[in-house]
Amino acid sequence: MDIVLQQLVNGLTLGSVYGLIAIGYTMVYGIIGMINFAHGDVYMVSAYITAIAIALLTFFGIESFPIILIGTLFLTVAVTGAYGWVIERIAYRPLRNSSRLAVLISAIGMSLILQNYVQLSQGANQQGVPTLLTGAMRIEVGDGFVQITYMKLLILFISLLGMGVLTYVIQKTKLGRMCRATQQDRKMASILGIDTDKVISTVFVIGAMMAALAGVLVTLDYGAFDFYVGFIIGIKAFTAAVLGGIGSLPGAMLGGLILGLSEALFAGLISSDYKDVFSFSLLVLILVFRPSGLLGKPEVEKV
Amino acid sequence: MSQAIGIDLKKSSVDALIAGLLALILFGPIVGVLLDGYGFKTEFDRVAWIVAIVAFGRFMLSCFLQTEKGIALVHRFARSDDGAIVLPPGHKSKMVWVIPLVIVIGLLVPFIASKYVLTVVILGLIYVLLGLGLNIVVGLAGLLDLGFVGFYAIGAYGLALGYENLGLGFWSMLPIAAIMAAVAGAILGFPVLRMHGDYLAIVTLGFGEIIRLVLINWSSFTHGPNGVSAPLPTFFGLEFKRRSSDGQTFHEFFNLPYDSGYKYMFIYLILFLVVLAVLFIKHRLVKMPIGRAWEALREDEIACRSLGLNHVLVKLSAFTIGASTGGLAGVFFATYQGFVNPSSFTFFESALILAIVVLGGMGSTLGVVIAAFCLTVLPEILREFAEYRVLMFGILMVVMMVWKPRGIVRVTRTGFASRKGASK
Amino acid sequence: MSQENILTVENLAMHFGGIKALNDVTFDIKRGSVSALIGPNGAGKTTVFNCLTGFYKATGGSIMLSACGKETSIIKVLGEPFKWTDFISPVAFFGRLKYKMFGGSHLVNRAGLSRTFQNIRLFKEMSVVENLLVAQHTRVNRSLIAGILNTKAYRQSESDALERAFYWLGVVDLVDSANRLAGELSYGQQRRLEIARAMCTNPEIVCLDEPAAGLNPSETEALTKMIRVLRDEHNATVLLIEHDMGMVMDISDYIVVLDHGVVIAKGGPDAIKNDPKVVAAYLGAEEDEEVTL
Repeated sequence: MDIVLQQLVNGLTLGSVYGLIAIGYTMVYGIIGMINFAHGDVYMVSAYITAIAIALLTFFGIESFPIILIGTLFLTVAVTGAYGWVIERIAYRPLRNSSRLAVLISAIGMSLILQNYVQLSQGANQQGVPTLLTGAMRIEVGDGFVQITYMKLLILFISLLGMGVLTYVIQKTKLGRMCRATQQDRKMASILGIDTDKVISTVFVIGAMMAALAGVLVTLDYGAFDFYVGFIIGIKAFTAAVLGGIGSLPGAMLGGLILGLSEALFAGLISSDYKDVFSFSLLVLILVFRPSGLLGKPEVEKV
Repeated sequence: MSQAIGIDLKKSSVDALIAGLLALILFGPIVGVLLDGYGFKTEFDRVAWIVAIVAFGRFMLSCFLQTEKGIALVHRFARSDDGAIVLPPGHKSKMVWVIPLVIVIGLLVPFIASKYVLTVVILGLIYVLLGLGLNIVVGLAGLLDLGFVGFYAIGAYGLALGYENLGLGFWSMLPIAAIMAAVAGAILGFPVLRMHGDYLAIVTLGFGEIIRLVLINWSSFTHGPNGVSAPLPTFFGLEFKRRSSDGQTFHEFFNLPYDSGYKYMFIYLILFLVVLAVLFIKHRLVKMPIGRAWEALREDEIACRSLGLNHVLVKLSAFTIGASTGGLAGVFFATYQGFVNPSSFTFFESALILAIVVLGGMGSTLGVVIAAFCLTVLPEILREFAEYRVLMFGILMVVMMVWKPRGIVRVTRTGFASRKGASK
Repeated sequence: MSQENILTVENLAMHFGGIKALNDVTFDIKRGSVSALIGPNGAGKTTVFNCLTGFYKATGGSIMLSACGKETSIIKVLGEPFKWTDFISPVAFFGRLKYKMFGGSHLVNRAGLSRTFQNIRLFKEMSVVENLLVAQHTRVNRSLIAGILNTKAYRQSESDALERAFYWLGVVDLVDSANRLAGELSYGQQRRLEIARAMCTNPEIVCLDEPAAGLNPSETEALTKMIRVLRDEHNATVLLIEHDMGMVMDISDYIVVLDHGVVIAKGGPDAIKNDPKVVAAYLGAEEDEEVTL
C-alpha cells in the first residue's frame, strides 16, 4: 500500500515534468503541424545550462538556495529560449513550404547536431549538480510511510506555476490571441496582419522555456545527466502530448500526469527495467486506438 | 564600398552584431564553461573564436546577399526546379559499360586489396544494403522510418542467437533472418501504417529503442550488454577457422597456409553478390506496379485510395521489403564482426542510414550506393575527425533539406514510347 | 433494389461534431445517365461526394452502389463500429473485423465507382503515363516474382496497361504530353488527366467534382463533349458537381439540388430551372417572388 502511494507521489512529479516538456511538442504541432524532434535535446541543453549556472553562482559565493534557484531558473530559461529561437530560424523556417518529410529530417538533423555539439564541448561523461535542497516530509500510512521530499514539492509547485502562467498568457493576452489565431488558420491570420513567422518563433521560444523549466527541476532533483538524456525523455513527453491530444495545451498537462503516474506504478509494481518499453508500447496503443488523444479533436481529412 | 553596388554596410553590421550576440548567448555557457565535477573550467578562447567566426560569417553573407549575384542566388533558391526528369522513350544510358566494369572490379577487389581495405569495403557494402532497404521505405514510399536499426539488430542477433540456441549457421540464417525482420516489420507496420505520417516516425523510433532495451535487459537470452558471438559462413561445410573441432577447415582442405584474410574474402564475395542481387531486384521493383504504387502513395495518398489502391497494404509491402533488407545486412554485420552487442544498434546508427538516403537522394539507387561509401569510408580515412562524425551527419541533414531536399543525384523516370491505344 | 438505379442514397446524414453538414439526403442515380449535384456554396455537395466515394463515413442513412454485378453498401465497406450483437454471431463479427482491418475507401473504387477532386490531386512527380498506370494497379499482374523475372505474362499485362493508358490519353487529347511530369501540365490538361486517370480504373460510375472550375469557355465545351463520350461510348454513368449552370443545364439528364444539407429539388433540367425553391436558394429571394434563371 505504501509502495503504491509512494509511486503515486513520484509519478505526480514525474508527470508534471513530462507535461512541461510536452507543452513544447503540442504547441509546435498545433501551430505548424510538425513534430519538433529536437525538443528533447533542447531539454538536454537546459540541463547542462542548469549545472553551469549553479557552478557559476556558487563560484561567485552565493549560497542561499532561493537565490541560486531563482538565478538558475532565470539564466536557464533565457538561454534555452534563445536556443529555441535559433533552432527554428535555422532548421525550420527555410522549410516552411517544403514537404513534411523534409521538415522532419531537418529536425532529426538538428537533434543530432545538438547532442553531438554538447558532447564535443562538454565531454561524453556524466555530469552532475550538488544536492541543494534536502529534507522530506513523512506521512505515516498504516505500517509504513510515504516520503515526500521538499524537492518534489518544489517541482510540483513550480511546474504548476509555469503551466498556470502559460495558460493565462495563451487565454488572456494579445500574444496568446495571436497564437490561437495562427493555430486556427495561418494564412488568414497573416492576411489579418499577424506576423505569423514571429508567432511561430514565439511558440518555439515558449516551448523551449517550458522545457528549460523542466530541465532545471529534474536536474536539481536527480543530480546526474549526460548528453543523451533528451532522447528518452523527449519520446516520453511526446507520448504525453499524444496521450492528451496533440495540439491541446491542457491535454499536454493531463497526458503528462497520466503517463507519469502509470509509468511510476509500472516501475514500482512490475519492472523498472522495462518502464521505457512500457511507455513506448503505450504510445503505440494510443496511436492505434485513439490517435486524437484524450482532449484532442479528431482530425477530419481534407479531401 | 560605394552606394552603386547597393551594399548597406550598416545593415550588414547590425546583422553581424546580432548574430555575434546570439552566438555568445548560445555558445557562451556550453562551450565556454566546461563542467568539472561540481566546479568548472573556463575556455573563453573557444567561445571567442566561435563568436568571431559566426559574426564574420554573418557579415559576409549579409554583404553577399545584397550583391547582384546574391540576389540572383536567393531567387534561384526560392524557385525549386530540381524535380525529376523524364527520359525520352527508349533511352539508353551511355554509362551502361560501367556496370560490367564495376562487377569485374568488385570481384577482383578481395584478391588485390589488403585485409584492412577489404574490411572497410565490407562495411561500406553493408551500409549500401541498409541504405537500399531504407531507400525503399523513405525514398520511394515516403514513410519516415527511424527505427530501421531495429531490423538490422534482428538480423544480427538472429544469426548469433540462432547459432547459439538452435545451431543454425550462416546459410540457414540468411533467409530466416530476412523473413524474421520482414515479419517484425509487418507486425509493427500493420497497426501503425494507417495513421498519420509523422506519427510513424515516432513509433518506429520507439520500436528501435524497444529492441535495444530488450537486448540489454533480457540478459538470460541475449547476454545483455556483453553481447553474443556470431558464426562465420562456411564454404560448402568447410570452416574458416584455424582449427575445427569437427571436420576439415578451408585452408586444410585446399592445402593453403592459414590466413585470417580468407574469411573476409569469402564474406566479401557473398556480400557483393547479395548487394548485386538486391540492386537488381530494386531496379526491377521501381518499374513494377508495386514500385509505381509506392511512389504514387508518396505523392498523394488520398488520390491513391480513390484509385482502388489499398494504402495500408502498399505501405506495408514497402515496409516489410525494406525491413528484410535490413535483416540481411544485420546477418552480414554479425558474421563480419564475429560478435554482436546492443551498442551497435543505437539511434545514431538509424540516423547514419537516414543520412545515406538523404544525401544520396530520395529514391535514387546510384545516389545511395555512392553516399553509403562516402559516409562509411570517409570517416575511416579521416580518423582524426571521427568524433565530429555525428555532428557532420546532423549538419548534412539540415543543409541538404534546406538546400537540395531531393539529394545530389537527380531522379530520372523512364519514358514510354507512344503507341496505339486500345480500350480493353 | 432495381437494376435501373446504379446508386441509391437514402436518408444520408453527416455530422461533424455538432455541425450537421447533411440532414436526410435521398436521391437515386439512373444507370447510364449524366446527373448533376448543384446547390449554393456550403450546401453540402462535396460532403455528399465524399460520403459517396468513401472518404467520409456517413453518420446515418444508407448508400447502395449497384455496379460490377453486385450490390455494395458503401458505409459497410468502410468498417463500422462493433455492435454488441456481433459478439454473439461470429459471422457478423468477422465480417465487421475484416472491413475494420482491410476496409476503406479503396473498396469503393473497386466496387466500380471512381472520382476526381475539386483541387486536383495528381501524382505530380510522376509522368503522365505513370499516373494512368497507377490507376490500373488492381488490373495488372502484380506478382513480385513475375515482375522481377520479367516473365512473358507480366510483359503482356504491362503492355496491355500501356495500351489502355494511351487509349485514354487519346480520348483526353494528351498523347503529346505522355512523357511530361504531371505537375508540369497546364491547369486544363491536369483536369483532363485526372478524368482519364479516374476512367482507367474501369468504373461504372464516375464522380466529377467541379470538372469545369477554372476552365475557359472553349475548354468547358470540350469537356462537355468528353463527358458525353464517357456516357455514350463507355457506358459510364456520370455524376458531377458543377457551378457552371450553362454546362449543367446543357449536359445533365437529371439534377439534384441541395441547400443547407437537404435536398430541395430533383428532376430534369427544365423542371429545375423553373422550380421556385431552387431559384430562391440561389438568389436568396422569397419563395413567392417571381424570378427566372
